[in-house]
Order: sequence, then structure tokens, then C-alpha cells
Amino acid sequence: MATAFYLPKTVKEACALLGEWGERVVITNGGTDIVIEIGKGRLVPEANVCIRNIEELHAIRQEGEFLSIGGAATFDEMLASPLVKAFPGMIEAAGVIGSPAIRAMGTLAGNICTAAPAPDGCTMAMGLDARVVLRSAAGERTVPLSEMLLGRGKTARRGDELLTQILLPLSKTACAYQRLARRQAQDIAKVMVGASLETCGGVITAAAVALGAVNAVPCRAPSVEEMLVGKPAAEGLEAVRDFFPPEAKLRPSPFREYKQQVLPTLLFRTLEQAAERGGGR
Amino acid sequence: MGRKKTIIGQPVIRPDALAKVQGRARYIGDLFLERKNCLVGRALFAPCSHARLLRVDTSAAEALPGVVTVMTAKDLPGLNAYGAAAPDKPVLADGIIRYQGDPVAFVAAVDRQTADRAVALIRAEYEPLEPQLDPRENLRPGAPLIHENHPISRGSNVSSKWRVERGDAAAALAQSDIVLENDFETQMADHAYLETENCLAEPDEIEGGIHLIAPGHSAHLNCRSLAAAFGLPHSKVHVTTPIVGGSFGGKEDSNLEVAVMAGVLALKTGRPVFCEYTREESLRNSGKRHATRSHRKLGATKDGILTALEADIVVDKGAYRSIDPIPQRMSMYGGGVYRIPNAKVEARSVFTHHVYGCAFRGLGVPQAMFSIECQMDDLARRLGMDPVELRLKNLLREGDSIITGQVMRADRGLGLEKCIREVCGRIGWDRPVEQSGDPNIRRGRGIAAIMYGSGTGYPDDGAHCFVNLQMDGSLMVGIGTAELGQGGLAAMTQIAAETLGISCSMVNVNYSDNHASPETGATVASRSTVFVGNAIVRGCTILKERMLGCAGKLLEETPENLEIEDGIISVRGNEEKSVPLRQVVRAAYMSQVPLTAVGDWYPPLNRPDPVNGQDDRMHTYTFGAQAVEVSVDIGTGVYTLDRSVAAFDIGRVINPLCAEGQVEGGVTQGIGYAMMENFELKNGIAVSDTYHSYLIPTSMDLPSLETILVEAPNELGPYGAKGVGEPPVTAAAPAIRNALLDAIGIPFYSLPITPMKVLAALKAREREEA
Repeated sequence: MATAFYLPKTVKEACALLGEWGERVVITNGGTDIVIEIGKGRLVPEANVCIRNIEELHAIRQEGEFLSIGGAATFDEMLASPLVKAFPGMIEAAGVIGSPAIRAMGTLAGNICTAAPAPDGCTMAMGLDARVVLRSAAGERTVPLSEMLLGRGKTARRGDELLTQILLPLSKTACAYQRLARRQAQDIAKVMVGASLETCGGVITAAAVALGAVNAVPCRAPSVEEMLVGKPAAEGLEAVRDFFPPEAKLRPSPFREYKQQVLPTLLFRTLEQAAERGGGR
Repeated sequence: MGRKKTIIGQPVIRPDALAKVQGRARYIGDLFLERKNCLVGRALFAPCSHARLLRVDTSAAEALPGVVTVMTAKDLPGLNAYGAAAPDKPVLADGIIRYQGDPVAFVAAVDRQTADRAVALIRAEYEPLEPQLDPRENLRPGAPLIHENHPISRGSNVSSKWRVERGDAAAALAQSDIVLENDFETQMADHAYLETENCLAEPDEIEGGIHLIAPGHSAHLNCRSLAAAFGLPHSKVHVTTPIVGGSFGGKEDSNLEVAVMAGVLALKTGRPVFCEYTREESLRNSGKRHATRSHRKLGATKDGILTALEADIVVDKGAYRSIDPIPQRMSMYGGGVYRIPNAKVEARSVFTHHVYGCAFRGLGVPQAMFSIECQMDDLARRLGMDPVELRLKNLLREGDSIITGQVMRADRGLGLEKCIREVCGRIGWDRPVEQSGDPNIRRGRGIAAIMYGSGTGYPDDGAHCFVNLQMDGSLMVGIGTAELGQGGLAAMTQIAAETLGISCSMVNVNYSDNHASPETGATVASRSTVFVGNAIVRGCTILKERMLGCAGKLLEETPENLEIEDGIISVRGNEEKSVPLRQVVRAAYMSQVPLTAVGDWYPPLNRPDPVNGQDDRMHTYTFGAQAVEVSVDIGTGVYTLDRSVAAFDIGRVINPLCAEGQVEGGVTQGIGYAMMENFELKNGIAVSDTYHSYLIPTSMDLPSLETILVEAPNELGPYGAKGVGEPPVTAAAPAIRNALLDAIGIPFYSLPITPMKVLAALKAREREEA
């Protein structure tokens, strides 16, 4: 059975196609995850809507209180953007994904919508309290990223919706991203932490902490965030030293013990770095 | 005079380099794309590691349009068995499944998609049997046999065994001031070549038989290993090997799996057939570096003089014998590069239902060097002695012998001590390691020293070549050596050009074609430069003497006064009086002087001692040392390799570019083996069946690799050369392990040493100290 292939040029055109094909369609861009699934026969879509040629979706621009990253912007496009450089943690996350070839093709939107356990860009975006904009022929809605991921391979996106923007709050530039893997490049991380802090007069006023590779999908760690908010940065950091966040529900795996041992260290170091960037320490 | 230009030692650009980097080099996969009417062969493999095959129903596959044939064991043209060392691997499973790579049926179809669909339509029924996965269990009396009727190991699960005994190890250990007793464990590792196993097979319609275009380490060995399975005499199995996309030992016999499939399908259909493993099939089915366990006792005096070694080594052979001198190598190298007067080392390789272990760059020596070099550092620590000082105290010097009794000779090249001194000088061994300002980082430095013989060490290890002068004074050389990416073509061209006295551009090497070259021996065992190079020297010397004789008549001079350079024969000291080689060749032909010769070379004969392993296995040894520096993050266990300095004494260097490339490649593979590579199985089924789950180092994991070539010439080598292919892979693992010991004070005894292992050890120590 042949798969119908579409290369729309506008968001409107793409949304119309999604409305028409519904659940039987896959949205692709770089195809860095999906092409493997199709090649192995684990995914047999009836239609493939490739959004790569939708110019407007490649835009990275400021929109009010947010930095908006288009749903087709590649990691390379993000890394080249002076606006993204305001978020050093996002530069770190985008810069370690896969290889140069993957970063040339892959996108943050895809990193989110694949809903894999250990996505670098998605974990950092969650640690920035990002929102995503979902558009369909019927309209548009904005969803917090922390509510977007429902489980491995499952998101809040309906079949007729297209992720058009990822919105990063401009107040959260004091951010950091750290990961641990078995080699220096091209390895899925075993533990990942993305975090951002907002401070006022040295006191932490807001914290967003996201953990990756410790659950079926990345998650926020409100237990940590609560320990930080309202405290001077140094005190907040001391409070979370050696703390294992209960949001990480480690499943049996050869790496479980390692994750258990190393997550508190990585969490502390990431927060320490974010605090330094916010001038809080 | 004496100003004769020399081609030896020059950084001649490899003949294959430009075509490869420009994408013009044609690999076998490219040849398939150019063929019309070529069928594609695919196989159904067993889904388990041990089972009885009850029945196979191929009717639905046969009925699929586009399928040309489906074969099971009953359809084979010859013997249902093949193998490089023993015919113990079935072409198609007949009754018993011994590992997950055993094929059950072959399909040939008009294209890949059709062949894959047909394979999915084959119905095979199995009765699952308990897999026997622990070689130690399979050694026990009464353990069920993996092979009921193995052609070599009848009635036993032991594939091969070796022992080395000299002096009285037990008594010497009892009297030693210090005895270290340790258990070492090394893992299976994949070769990770870019080109997976493949073969293009074409029936020969004129003379009968078959032509296999297949990667491998020896066209002759491929022929010998497969002819019986095709039911053909060796003369009717023509094997050619174009450039190979990497092999590192693996394709010496792993590629036979695919070649035999392509061959029997081509013979059955009468059409060309192309077969190629997917990456997953390659990882699951093809041979691996042998996993080993060694229990070792090393004795020393309180002054740090080694007294005795005892070792018991068990090797996981997997399902088939493949290439198996592993027990022999692990025994003979058990004492490393040191004088140890008393030794008793026993090693056995044991069949299991795992993927088989095959040849892999180093062939058991990385495992052996890891264990002795770790123990040397443990001993230095126990004595409070500098690890280099301890090594120098016990180091092999001229007249000393290794545990096989073989005496080390300076005239065969003995640059061991120089290698150690060179790496120490370069890395600054006498200065303490600079520590990091980051309180989480601990830095350390480690060293290891190794030796590695050139050649297989068996009596049949010799080389022959054809040398064939052309009428224009150019030269064709016919050898069975394969160009695997190692740079063999460059070295052979340089040796031929130098010996005959012509330029490299006038030499053409016809490589790896069993119909166009005599038996050369396989491109293995770090032997080709030495063995085949020597055969070329001999062949070219014969031709040169004949041509000088003819030139003497033309120039009215005695041949002893003549020399050849750049294709011109001239009178020594009177260059005006000369004649071009091409003119001499014509004159020779007119005078009934033959223009072709066979060059051959055998090392001094070694008669292996199967009782005590006291023999002179290799005529020469390559020596080396590697020092590294690491930084360990004690919060995460992640460590980085900051520096690697490696020195190898490879005798006279034929081509420094190729030699440095071999060292860097080997060192990189050794680093991967030390830090991350681990082929994992569960119930005999591969867990690591993609490069997502099987990690090899990327360039990001490597420091800039520093290489030092030490030249201690081998009097028997061509222009003094020794082997270089394998030694560089053997030192990295112990050097890194010893650097970690220096950095964090924790000794590791198993590979790979992952961040997970490092952190677990740090946490365990914390708990102990608390």
C-alpha cells in the first residue's frame, strides 16, 4: 500500500490535510525518529504530511512575553538564532542532540511530539515552563508543555492539530541543562535535568525544574520547585542538595541504580548553574 | 654513490585514498547496483538460541510472485557444513538451532522487498530447548554437548585448549613475598565495520563453478572454506575481494555466512545473486571478540621481582569454532612483557549457545594484556613502587625469555624499553599529574606495555606471490592479501618498487584474487607487511638478478657493477653508461629469460609444543607502550580521556602515514573496548543489535591521539619491518584502567569500565568507609 505524501507550503494547507486524514496521517519534518519507525515497519501511515517547506513555521521571534520557536524550526536554526542564545540552557540542550546531521534535520517540535522518554530539547523546554500552540482548521489552543506529554508516544495533540509554536517565557533566561550519557556524543542520555530560576532581590520567586529519562516521558518536579521558591538562592540550593525528587519513578533497567545515585547530583549542579546565570550565587 | 633514493619509509599516498574520499571507489554493494538481472537473497533466522527445528513450510513463500527459489537444508548442492577452521557450521539448520544466527531457509527473489516478504511467509516450527550460556557450566562432566558430533571436539564442549608450563609455579608462589590473586572478566565486542557482510555470487557459465565477489581476509581461505558446501573442487571456486569496507578480523570468516548463502542460491538458480546483512543481522549473527574469564595469581618478591604466574582461563566460544587460537594466545602472552621464571597457565575455549567468537584485531591478546598489566599496577601499589619502575625492573631484555621459553633477540627488533621511555618522556611521567581546580574532578595517569608477534605461529604460515615483468618495464604483482583499509597496497607497492628499482607508479598489485595469485596466507595476524613483503622482495630480487644479467651483456659490464633506479639500469659510478629496463626486458625475452617468478617466504619453522607450550611461536615481536591521562567526575562517574600517548616498535617503517593510521585506529578501538563497547545478550539473544544500543567511541570521546613510531629493525623482515595491524589495540584498556586506579584509587577487573561502574564503585567505597 502506497503512502500519500504531502508537502504543504502553508499552515492552513497543512491543517486542512490533517483534518482530512485525521489519525491515519503522520506529520514529519526531519523524520529523524519517524523514518526509523516506518523503515522497521512499526509504523505504517496512510499519509505523510511533511511540514518542512512551511516557511512561516521556521520563524524564531519574540512575541510579547515569549520567545516563539516555530514548529518547523530545526535545532540548527535554533542554535544560529541570537534570540535563543538568551536561553543558555536551550543552547546546551539543542547542541547535544544526536549528531550534526540530526541537528540539521530534527526539530524541537518533533522532539516534543514524539513523546520519547529522554528528549533533550523537550526536557529543557519543560524546565522553562514552555507552552505549545496547537492549531487545527477549527482554531488554536495553547497548552502548557507539562500537560502536553501524556505517556510514551502519547500527547495531548489531536490528530487534526499541528504544533505551530513553542513559547518560552522571556523571564526564564537564568536556565541550565545538564545530561549524563555513556559517551560524549550521539547517545541517549540516562539522566537529564533542565531548570530555570527567577529571582528578585536574591530570593527565588519562581522555579521550573524538569527531569528527563527517569519516567516514560519528561516531567516537572514540583517537589523541588516548592523547596526553592521563597528562599534565597544559596539556601534553596542547600535545601535540595542530595535530594531525590519523588517525581522520578525509576523502572527496572540496567541503569536504574545509576539513575538513583546520580540524579540528586545532576539536579543540584543544574540548579547551581542556573542560579549562577541569574546572578543568584 | 650511496645516494640511491629510497622508497621505503616514505609517506607515499595510498593508491586507494583519493578514490575513497571522493566516493569513486566501488565496493561490492556498488557492483550489485550496476548489475542487471541480479537476484537478491535473504534468510530466515531462528528466533531463539537453542531449539529443535521441527518443520519448515515454504509453500506460501514459493507461491509469491517474484520469488525464484526457496531453499532449506534438503536442497543444498554439497556438504551442509563449512567453516574457516573446521566444517562445523551448517549452511542451513538441520535439526538443531545452536544460536540465534542459524539460518533456517534461504530465499532468492527479483528484489529485496519481494525477498523480505517471502521470508516473512515462511513458517518454521521449533521445540524450544534450554540454552547453555555459561562456559564454566558447560565444562562440567555430564554437561550436555552443544555439538553431538563436532568434527574436532568430539565428545566435549571444549573447542580448543592450550597450556604453558615452565618451572614450578606452585612452589614459587608458596615462597613469594607477595601473591596477588584476581579474577578478570572481559566482554564480547563487535567489530563495527561500516560495510556489513555481503557477497555477489555468479555462476561461471563457461568453465563451470562459481565466482564469489566477497569481502574477506583471504580469497584462498574463502575458497577452501566453502568449496565442499558447493560440491565443487577448489579450482572451480573463484573468489575475488575488491576493496573492503572494514573488517578488523571479522570478515575472515563471518562473511562466509553470507557468501555461502549467495553461492548456493546462485548455483540453484543459475543466476547472479547478491546477499547482504542488515546492520541488525550483522550485529546478531556475526562473530564477536571472545568474552573471557581469567583467574590469576601473580607472585613477586618484596623488592618487586616477579617470581611466578598461575592462571586458569575460560573463553566463551559461542556456538561454532570459527577461528580459535584464543587459548593459545591468552596462554603464551599471560606473562606480558616480563621475565617470569615459573608459570602455569591453562586456557580453554568452551562452546555455548551464544554468538560465536571469531577473529578480532588482537586475537585474545587484548584480554591477556589487560590482566597482566592490571596486576602489574596492583603490584606496584602494593609495593609502593612507581608502576614504570616496577615494569623496568622486570622488563624483557635481550636474552630474557617469555613464559613459553622463547628468548628475545635484539636482531629481531627489541624496542620495548625504548617504547616505555618514549611515552614516559612525552607524557611527563616524572611530573605529578596536574589536578583540576574543580573539587569533583580527580585526575590520574596510567601506563601499559605490550608485545605482539607477527604471523600465526603455525607451521603452515608462509607466503607466495607472483611477480610478472611487463614489456615496458612495469611490474604486476599477484598476491592474495586483501585491502581492508589497512594500507596494505601502499606497503606492497613500495616494497616491490624499492626492490626492483622502479617507481611506485610502475607497479600494479593484483590483490585478493585466488585465481590470479598463489597462496599468500590470510591478511591476518599482523603478518602481511612482513610475510608477503618478504615474498615480494624475494620475487623481485629474482627478476632483478635476471635483468641485471641481461643488462650486463648489453652494457658489457659484470652484473655486480650494475644498479637499477627509477627503471634505468646503469653502471655504478658511471651513470652515463645505462640502458632502460624496458629495453632489457625485451632483450631478456628474446634470449629466453623468463619474465615471471614466484616469490616465497616462510619464517623459521616453529614446532608447537602441545604439552607445555614451550616453543618459539613467532619469529619477531612488535612491542609497545601507551600512557594515558583521565579526569574522573566523582559525582557522576563520568570520566574523560584527556591524553593518549602510544609508542610502538614496528621495526623499520615502510610507510609512516599508513603506520600512524594503523596505530590511531587500533588505539581508538582499544579505547572503545575499555570505556564503553559491550555486546550484550540475554538468554542468548542479542540485546545490542543496533549502534543505538552498542556504543563505540565518537571523535568527541577521543583526545588528539599522539603516536610515536619506534624502529628496532627485524633482521628477517623486509627492510627490517615488523607487524603493525593488531598491537595498537592491546594497550589502551589496561592503560585507562591503571589511570583510573591512579585517579580514584579503585581497581577495576572487568571491562568495559563505564561511568555506571565507576560511580557504583565510588558509592560502594563511601559505604565501606562510613
